[in-house]
This record gives sequence, structure tokens and C-alpha cells, in this order.
Amino acid sequence: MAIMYALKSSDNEIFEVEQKVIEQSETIKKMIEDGAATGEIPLQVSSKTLAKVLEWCKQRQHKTVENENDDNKGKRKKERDEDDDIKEWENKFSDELKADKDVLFDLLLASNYLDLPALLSFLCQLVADMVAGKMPEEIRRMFNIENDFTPEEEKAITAEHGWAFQP
Amino acid sequence: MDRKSDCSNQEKEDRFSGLPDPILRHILSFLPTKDAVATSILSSRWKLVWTSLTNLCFDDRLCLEDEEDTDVLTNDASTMFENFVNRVLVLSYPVDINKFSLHCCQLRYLACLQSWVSTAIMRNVREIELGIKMDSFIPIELPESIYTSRTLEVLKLNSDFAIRLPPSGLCFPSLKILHVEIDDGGDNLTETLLSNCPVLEDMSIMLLKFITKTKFLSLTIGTIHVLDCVADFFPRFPNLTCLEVEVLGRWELLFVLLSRAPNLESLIADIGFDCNWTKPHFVPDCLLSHLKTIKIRGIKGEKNQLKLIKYLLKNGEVLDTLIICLQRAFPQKMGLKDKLYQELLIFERGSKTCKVKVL
Repeated sequence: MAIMYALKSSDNEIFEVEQKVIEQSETIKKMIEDGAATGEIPLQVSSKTLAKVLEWCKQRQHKTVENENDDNKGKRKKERDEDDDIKEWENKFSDELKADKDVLFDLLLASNYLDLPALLSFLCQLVADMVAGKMPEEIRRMFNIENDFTPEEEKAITAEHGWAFQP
Repeated sequence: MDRKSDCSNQEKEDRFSGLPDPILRHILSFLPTKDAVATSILSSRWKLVWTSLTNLCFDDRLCLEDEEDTDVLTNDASTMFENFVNRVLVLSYPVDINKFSLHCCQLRYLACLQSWVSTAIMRNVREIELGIKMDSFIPIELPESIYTSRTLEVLKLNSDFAIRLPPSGLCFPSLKILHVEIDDGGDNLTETLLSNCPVLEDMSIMLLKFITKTKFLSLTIGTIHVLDCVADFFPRFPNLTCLEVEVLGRWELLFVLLSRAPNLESLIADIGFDCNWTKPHFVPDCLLSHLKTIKIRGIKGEKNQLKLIKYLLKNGEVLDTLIICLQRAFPQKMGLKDKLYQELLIFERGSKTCKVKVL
């Protein structure tokens, strides 16, 4: 029987989760080791965001367990099929986040707070892909960034790093 | 951490700029340094974020116009690129560099390369990756400090470098991974490196001199993986006329190989199980001009396999013979043979004289 823990979101929703799943979070793992986690573990993460975090952790956990159970026979093909499945899952996950940037940023902050390096890197890569090759004006529009430079300041920056602004 | 409930403000809110610096730096570390530096113009919040980047990744191919096929930069473009690298190295905070990667399709001055690499070494770089093309035909010399760096753990050289170990013997004191692709390593480079690098765990040396001049080549999937690891600089095989290859479900690699073998006349490919395959963006030259015989092994009549055969038939403009070998000991083999043959007859053919056989 797997050991279960109860996580409490900032809006007081309880999530019952297997220890192996939540131990991917270094923050929670430490709380458990320190014995601070008797009963519910209170987290500064909303239920909506926490649900997404757990969705990610379960997928990752699934992957690791299957790899451990593999023997070598037929492994190459199986691994490739699994890689395809995971990729498909990740693409769907990314598409949802791209469509709702608020969830994306909530998740970024949560992965940082919960110390989930794999999720953090995945999300940073996702944002980087959204920014790559785009003109500054496009990036500002995409993320509502307000340009607070005067035209002179802007000119000075463009002059300083010439090549960076070549299309 | 919670989503703001005020919907009217939600549209306007800039949550990106509100992220803490370490996260922003993490995001920028996934971008080419050119794009990372360009974020300095977004707003005053962004002006200096890039200056603490620990991954520096420069690539002068980013200033080639999309329409241009050639790898030729104008002098102005080269100057701009050189100035850019110089300024980034000077203006960034002197934090330790995790990875320094430099790709130049046209390096004008060896002195530039040496000073950039030396700077990276002085900033305790952990990983260096270099892919350089120069007009001179002599191997490129690396700065001496690279051999004695105490922080360098990974070194990948995808160009013709001269590896000159220091006379003192001991070199690369912390190097764990070394991948080198050079023209000619001298008589006993491998042994010398192995006996002098104290902590080396993973070394691959590819001597292009031999592999790229070959006329006949037989590759197994393992070898292709090695070639694929240096995919950016996947070697060209200008003399190759006869290729036998095992790609087992990695069909895209078959096309990488074809595109690097412009004079290929005969291909034998074991394609293994069905894989989700998309057509390459352009047809490899050899298919249009030289490839006369293709033999495909391991066919079971699956959907993607047919797609691949259809593609080869359509684009093989000088094809004489296409031989399809059905998977051995395949139960439905007899019925399939006729069915497949019928199907192949209706596929469009780029070469009117092409004969098709199913075995």
C-alpha cells in the first residue's frame, strides 16, 4: 500500500497524493523529512495551479516506474513508443499553457516554490520558445509588457547591441 | 501565486516582467544569446537581465538571410557579429560561465576565436562547444589555456582543430567528456589523450579524413547515432556511391544521410518497423540526379512504409530499379506480395523507366 499525503492548497482544497509523486518536489520532500508534515501539508499554491502541478508529477512518476520495470528485451522499441506518448502528452500540456498564460505564470512560480527542477526547466523552455525569433514589439504585445523607454534611450540600446536587433 | 481575480485588469497585467530574476535568467538561458540580449529593449525591467547569463551561445548563421543558400557572410555582417560577441563578453557580469558555444560559418580572425575562448576559460567555463569554418586550410589552434583549465568538463569540437597537448604531459585536468571531429589527428592522438587526461569518462574521436572520402559505406544504427550527435555538422560524403544502412524507425536520419551524399548511386536501407514519418522539406540531390538503385528491406505493407516508398518513387527522377524486400517469416507474406505490387503500380513515378520488384 502506497503511503499517501494530504496537500492543502491556499484556497483550502485537499489533494490526496502518493508519497512517490510528491517527493519530486524538493520542498515537500524536505518538509516530510523534517517531520513538519503530519496531517495536511499547507502550500502557498492555489487549487487550480496545484492540480496542474500534480498532473505533471503523475506523468513523470508514471514514466520513471515504467522504465524501472523494463527488461532489455524489446526495450528500444518500447522506449521509442513511450517517448512518442510522452511527447504527445507534453505537447498537449504546452498548448493548454500557451493558450492561458496566467496558468503558465502561476505554474512557473509554483514550480520554483515547490522546487521541481524538471517542471521549471520545461516551462522556461516553453516560454523561451514563445519568445525566440520574435521582434520586441511582438513580445511586448504577447505578454503586455509596457515599453517605458524614451525614444532616445531606445535608440541608445539599439546602437549598443546592433547585431542583436537584426531580424 | 494566485491568479488575480480582477478580470478587467487581467488583460493588461504584465506577469512576465514580474517573475523573479533567477527565473527570467533561466528562460533566457534557453535562447540563442542574440535573442537573449535583444530582450534588453523590451522595457527598463529587462535592460540588464541578460547580463548575468551563464550560457553563452553565439551563432553567426543567425545573420544569414533566409533566402540565401550559401554560407557566405558580408564583411559588414562579420564585423557586426564580432563586435556583438566582444561586447557581450565585456558587458556581462563576470559570473562563471556554464556553457560557451560558438558556431561560425565564416571566422575571419583566429585572434578573435582565441580571445573569446580564453575569456570563457578565465570565467571558469564548464562546457565548450565549437564549430568553426575558416578560409585557411590549416587546422585551427586553440588557446593554450584550454589544456590546463581546472573547470572544463565537456569539450566538443566540430571542426578541424589542431590538438596540441602541452609538453608537460598532463592535460584537461577536469575533462570528463570529449567529442572531437577532426580531419587528421596525427598518429596516436587517442592513446595520448587517454593516457594524459586523468578523469576522462567519454571520448569519441571521428577522423573525417577517412570516413568522408569513402565510396562504400555500411552503417548500423549505433554508428548513425554517433553521427547524429554531431548533427549540426553531419559530415558530407561527396565520394559516396554505395550506401548500406540500418535506420530502424529513425527514417529522418536516412534523409539526413541522403542529403549529405549528393553522388549516391545505390542505396540499401533496412528501415525496420513502421514509424511516424513526415516528408523532408526538400528532396535530397542524389534522388534527383544520381540514385539509380534502391533496395528497401523490412517492409510489411504498413501505412507509413507505403508513404516512404511512394515518396521515393515520385522523387527518384533517375531511378532504374526499386526493390522491395518483405519482412522475412512474415505470415501474410504471400497475399501481401500481390496486393503491394498492385498498389505500387498506381504510385506516380519520377522516372518513366523505373522497374519495381517485390521480393
